[in-house]
Amino acid sequence: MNTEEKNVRMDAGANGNEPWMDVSAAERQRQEYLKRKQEEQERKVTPAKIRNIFYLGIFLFLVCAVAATVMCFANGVTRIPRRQAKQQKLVSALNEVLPPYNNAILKTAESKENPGNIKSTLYTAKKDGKVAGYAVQISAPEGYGGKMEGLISFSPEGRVCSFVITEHSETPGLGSEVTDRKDVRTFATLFAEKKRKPFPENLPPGKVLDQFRSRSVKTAPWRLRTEGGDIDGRSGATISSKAVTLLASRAAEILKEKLQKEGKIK
Amino acid sequence: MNLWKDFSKGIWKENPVLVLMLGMCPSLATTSSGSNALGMGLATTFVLVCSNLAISSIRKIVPGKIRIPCYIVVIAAFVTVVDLLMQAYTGALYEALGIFIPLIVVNCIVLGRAEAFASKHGLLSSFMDGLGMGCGFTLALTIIGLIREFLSAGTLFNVLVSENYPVLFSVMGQAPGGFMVMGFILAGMNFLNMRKARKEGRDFVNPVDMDCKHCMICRITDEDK
Repeated sequence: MNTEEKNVRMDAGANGNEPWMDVSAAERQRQEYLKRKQEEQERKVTPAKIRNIFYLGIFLFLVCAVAATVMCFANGVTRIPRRQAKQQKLVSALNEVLPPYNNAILKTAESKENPGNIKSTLYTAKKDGKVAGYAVQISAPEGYGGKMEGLISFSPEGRVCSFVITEHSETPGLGSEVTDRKDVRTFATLFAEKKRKPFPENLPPGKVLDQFRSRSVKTAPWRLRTEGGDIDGRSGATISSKAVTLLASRAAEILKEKLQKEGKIK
Repeated sequence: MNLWKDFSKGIWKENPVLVLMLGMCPSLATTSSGSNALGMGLATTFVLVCSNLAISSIRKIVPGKIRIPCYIVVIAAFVTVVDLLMQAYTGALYEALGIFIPLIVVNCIVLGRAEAFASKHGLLSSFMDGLGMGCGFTLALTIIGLIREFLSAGTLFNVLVSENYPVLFSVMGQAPGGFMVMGFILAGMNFLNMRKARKEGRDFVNPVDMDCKHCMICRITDEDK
C-alpha cells in the first residue's frame, strides 16, 4: 500500500465512515481524492503552461494575420476586374430597360446623394439628340437580406417603362421570387424558339415588378396594398415586396424632381 | 478501393443531410426549387473539396487545442477569396451561385468534415471525402428541391410539367414543407436500410456517433426497445 492510499483511508476514517467494511465506498473516495489532486494540478500555473498559452495565442494570431493578408490581397487584386464586371453588367442592364439610344450614357449620368445615405444615378438616353427615355439606378437598404439595387426606366413623359433588380441578397425561392424576372416554360415548348416581345415588354415577367409599368411619376410614392396602396406583394415575402416598392418610389421621386425642374411636368 | 469508399460513403451511408443531419439550415432554406437546390449543392461541393484540402494540408502544424478556431478562420477566409474571385472573373457563374456563397461560410458540413475527416486523413482521402460528401449533399438537396417545387408550383427546374396543373400545396414551398418532405425521405431511407439489414439477418444500426440519437435530447428509440 503506498502513501496515497493510506491518506485516503485516513481521510475516509475521519469522515466517520467505515471504509474497510465497504470496498466500493473506499474506492469512490480514493477516486475523488485523485480527481481533486488532478484538478489542483490543473489549476496550478506553471511556466510551461504559460508558455503554452502564449504559444497558442501567437499561433492563432498568426493564422488570423495570414488569413487577413490573403483576403486583403485578393480584395486588392480583384478590385478593378470586379468594378469592370459590374459596369459591364450595368451597361447590359441599361440596354435591356431602355429603348434604342446612341449617346454616351455613362458619361452624362447624374449621381446624387439622397437622404438616408442612398446613392442614386440618373441616366438620360438620347437618340439623335432627342430624349428617348430615363433610367434611374438606386438602392434600398430595406431588403430582407440587406441592400438591394435596382434599375428603373421611364418614358420621356415620366411613365415607368421597365423595372429590374440588378443586385440583391434575398432568400432564394421566397424573396427572390419578387426581385427576379423568370420565364415560364413548359416541357412542350422547352425547345421551341423563344420570341421576344417588343420593348418595353421584352423582359421575362415578374409579378410584382410588372405592376409598376406605365404608372406616372406624378402618382408616386407607391405603396403595398397592405399599407393602403395598390401594389400586390408576394405572400411570404412582404419585406422584399416592400423594399422593391420603396426602391421604385424613390426612383420616381428623383425623376419627378428633375422633370419639374425642367418644366416638363407640373 | 479505399478512395472509392471515402467517396461513396457520402452518398448513401453517411449522407450529410439525410444521415449525419448536418447543414439543416441551408438544406431547408434553399430547397424550395430544384435549381436553387442544385446551385447550393454545387457551390458547397466546390468549397467543401477545397476546404478539405486546405485543412488536410495544415493538419499537422495546428495545435489540437485551437484547431476549431483555426479551421473556422481558414474556411471563412477561403470562402471570401472564392467569392471575390468569382465576382471578378466569372460573371455568369457568380450570377447563378453568388447568393449561396455567403451561406456556405456558416454551413456546418464544411466545418464538420474538416473536424471529423480532413484533420485526420491525407490529402487524397480528404479530397475524395469532400467530393463524396458534396455529391451526397447536392443529390439530397436536389431531390428534396424537386419534390417541393413540383408539389408547390407544378414545375421541375422552372419548367412547367403540364399547362393545366392544379397548384396543390403552396405550403410545400415554405419552411414547413421542407421539414415534411425531409421527414418522408428519412423514413423511406430508414425503411430501405432496415429491410436490407433484415434480409441479411442483422439489426440495422446507424454508423456509430453519426445518427441523430447520439445527441440524447430525444431518446425515443432506446426507450421503445
